[in-house]
Amino acid sequence: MKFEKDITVKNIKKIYDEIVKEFEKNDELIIDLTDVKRIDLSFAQLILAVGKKARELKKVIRVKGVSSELKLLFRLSGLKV
Amino acid sequence: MGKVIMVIDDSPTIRVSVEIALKSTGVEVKQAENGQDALDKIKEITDAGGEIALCISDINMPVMNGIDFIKEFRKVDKFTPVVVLTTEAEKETIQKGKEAGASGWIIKPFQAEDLVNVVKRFVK
Amino acid sequence: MGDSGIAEIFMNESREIIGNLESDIVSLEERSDDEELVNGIFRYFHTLKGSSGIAGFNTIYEFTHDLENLFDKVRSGEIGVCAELTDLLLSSLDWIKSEIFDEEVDENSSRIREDLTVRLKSYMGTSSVTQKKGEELPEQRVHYSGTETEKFFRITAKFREDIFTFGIDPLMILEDLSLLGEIEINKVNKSSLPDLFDMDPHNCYLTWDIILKTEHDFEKVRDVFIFVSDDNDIAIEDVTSEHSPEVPGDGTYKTEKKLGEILVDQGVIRSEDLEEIVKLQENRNEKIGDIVVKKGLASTKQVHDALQEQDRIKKKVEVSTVRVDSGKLDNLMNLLGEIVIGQAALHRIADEMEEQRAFSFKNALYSLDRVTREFQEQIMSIRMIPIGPTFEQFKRFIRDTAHNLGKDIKLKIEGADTELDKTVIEKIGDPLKHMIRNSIDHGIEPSDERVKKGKPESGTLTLKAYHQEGNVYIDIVDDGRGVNLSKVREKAIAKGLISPDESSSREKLLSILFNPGFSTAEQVGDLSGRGVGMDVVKTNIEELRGAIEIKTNEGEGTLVRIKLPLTLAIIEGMLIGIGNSILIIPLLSVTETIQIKKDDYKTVEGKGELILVRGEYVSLIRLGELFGLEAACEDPWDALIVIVESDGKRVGLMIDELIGQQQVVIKSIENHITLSRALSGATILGDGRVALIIDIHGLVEEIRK
Repeated sequence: MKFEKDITVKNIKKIYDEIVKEFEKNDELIIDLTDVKRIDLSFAQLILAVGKKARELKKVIRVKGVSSELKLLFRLSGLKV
Repeated sequence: MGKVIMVIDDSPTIRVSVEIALKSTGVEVKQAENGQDALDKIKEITDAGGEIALCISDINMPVMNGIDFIKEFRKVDKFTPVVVLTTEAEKETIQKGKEAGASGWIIKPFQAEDLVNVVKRFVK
Repeated sequence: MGDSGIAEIFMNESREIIGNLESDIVSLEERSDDEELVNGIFRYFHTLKGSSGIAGFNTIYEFTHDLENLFDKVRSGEIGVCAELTDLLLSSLDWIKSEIFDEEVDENSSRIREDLTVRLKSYMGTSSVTQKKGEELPEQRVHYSGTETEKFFRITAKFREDIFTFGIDPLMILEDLSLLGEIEINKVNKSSLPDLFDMDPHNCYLTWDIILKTEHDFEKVRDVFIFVSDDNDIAIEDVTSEHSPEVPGDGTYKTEKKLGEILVDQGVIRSEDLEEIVKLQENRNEKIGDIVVKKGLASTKQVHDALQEQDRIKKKVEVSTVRVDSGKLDNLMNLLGEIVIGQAALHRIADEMEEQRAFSFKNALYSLDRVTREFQEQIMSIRMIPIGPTFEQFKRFIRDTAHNLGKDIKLKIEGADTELDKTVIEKIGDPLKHMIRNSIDHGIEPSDERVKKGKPESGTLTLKAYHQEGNVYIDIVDDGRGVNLSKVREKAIAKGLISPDESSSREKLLSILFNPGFSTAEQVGDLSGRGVGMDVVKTNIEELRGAIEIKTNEGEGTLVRIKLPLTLAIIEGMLIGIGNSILIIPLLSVTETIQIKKDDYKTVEGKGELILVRGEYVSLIRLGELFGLEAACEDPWDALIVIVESDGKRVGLMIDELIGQQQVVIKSIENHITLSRALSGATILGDGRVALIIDIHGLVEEIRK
């Protein structure tokens, strides 16, 4: 899955629905953030939750294309990136 | 149209001062004279595909005051930050603003630097 | 903002506003009950004020501020509308107009403005807000000059779940925080994050526990949270002392306690049980409290009490704080000292007044005294900080030391929230460390030895602090082998400290432990050697005007009790007279005041003058001679003798008279005189005379030489 621009609480519901849909269909999910400029806590939380669920269901989630700005934001949210 | 900061104040002096101060941030600034004017202009902008990044609003304005503006704005936009412009003497308006859904405040009169610092807290 | 463009915009705007105001104010006379009209006028003044401030028209800003205040009272109905008011408002507008638009400077302008201001203020009545000029001017930014040293802050943040609906992204705040320095530890608690399918992505579920390393000061860190601090749980704490390089410390100082830990501390459950329960909790995902009750380990009430205790601890942590330079507190204390002195002077004057007037004068003075005393207590309480962090610092030290010596030791901390004067806390660390080291090295036995004796395998060291009778006590208790008194006696005889045929009391033998160069350890340990330092510990504590004692039961353990004053700034003093001079002896050191018979006095070669006090000869010191003062009494049996004690040694001080007893505020005299060690400071008495304060500990030392 590929996203772009900003992912924030303003559009998180849409992103959430998309990710959940794909997650249920596939055993492996790649989330590409190469074109994402900015995220907020709502997206970081979503990644945390989806990661936890993946471990439970023995699925694989990969996040790629994380810029250094996003890396900092993920780390502040308690994600190991 | 990209991101827009909306400045809402009945005083043109304040509106222009804010616009000049925010030039350095590179974000486009739009002006509105009161709460109703702002709601109308915000609708125009979002209809045209633009995004409101931040509202900076005075409290005491004719037609629609700042508190009512925030309440109305929150009905259509839950998550965009709103910073209220207030004076030292109006401490309780900060509280009222927050109850209505405001995100922060700026005390008038302010220096350009103070304004930019506050804006940077909400627009990255 | 002095932009010329802005000035022009402001002029246009104010022309319009003033035009509207003029016509509205005229209509006001007829329609004073027209709410809309009144609100409109108020808003015009308000806008005019705001714009003039931004445009840099400061005199107009200040003036319209007064106008706005006045009209606020009209709006609230406090001031009625009349011709006089409208005249005043219209004249005010005239002045504003001339100030903004007149090309030529009117030399009368400031006078007119002053007249108008006076009229405005008198109109608002005497109770009106006469704000200071500084408060009306654009906010002056205070720049706190941060020191360049690194500081550590612990920030715990729990945002409200609906924080996003206030347009606030917690992550932006944390990003701003991270820009202040380096985030050393970032513990993100994800336990509240719901299942992926159940979560509402618009809510905030995470909480943070962060250690920030920064060169900025507290205000700067607090500033990051300015817009969220009111309605979210944000706690910021300076934890620099726990992160200083000398004390590596293990992790962070826990200010919040887990329920299980509290239950163990309260003796409700055993720590072994706790471990088991925690394991259970991980599996079952139940609350600790529920498990404890289910297993019958504690009653619901006990759990409830523990939860309350937990809350209490937590609240303590969340108390908001202001950091001030401790030098400012010292200054306050010093000024308070001056007030006390001033009051004493007034009391003296009252004593000399005729009875009728003296009575009412004294009554007034007494209530002033009460306030001063309360004031003093408040300042004291500001200087007080809990001993907890100091105790916690020893955790790591104890673990390492015990490990090095191959011993197994558990630390128990009690009374961590007991507060002591900041200065005392700073100076108590070393003596404490020493005594703890002694307990670990000499007191607590290795595990195999303990098992043989039928004791629990691991030893327990308890650090306990508490208040009692205006003093603070710190106990260091171990359940080790205790002090072998017969060995102490043997050694003391060998060292010639006591004679072989002397039957020494337990107390006497224990006090010998504090003699320089005394040790009973059979082998020289790595850490605590041959008693080196025990005498130093005692000296350090006495310099804090404290005392130390040891209690022991052979085979069962040892208790070291350190007694400290609540504060170093004030002492209870005994005022004594020698000739025309007054000196002060700290009451803490005084054991008694006596008169002697001629027969009880003798001189001994090499020992000087001795007097017999309760069957024991003690040295007599003529205070007058020592300080070069002319004493009234020549012979000791005519004079009064104050018996003081220091280092377990008693000394008689010869004085002329006892004057009284009072609290004295110590003023440091370092700057004035380089004194003998026998003086610790000075104070100013009610009549303005300076009285020197005797340092008994220093005095005894001086005489030993």
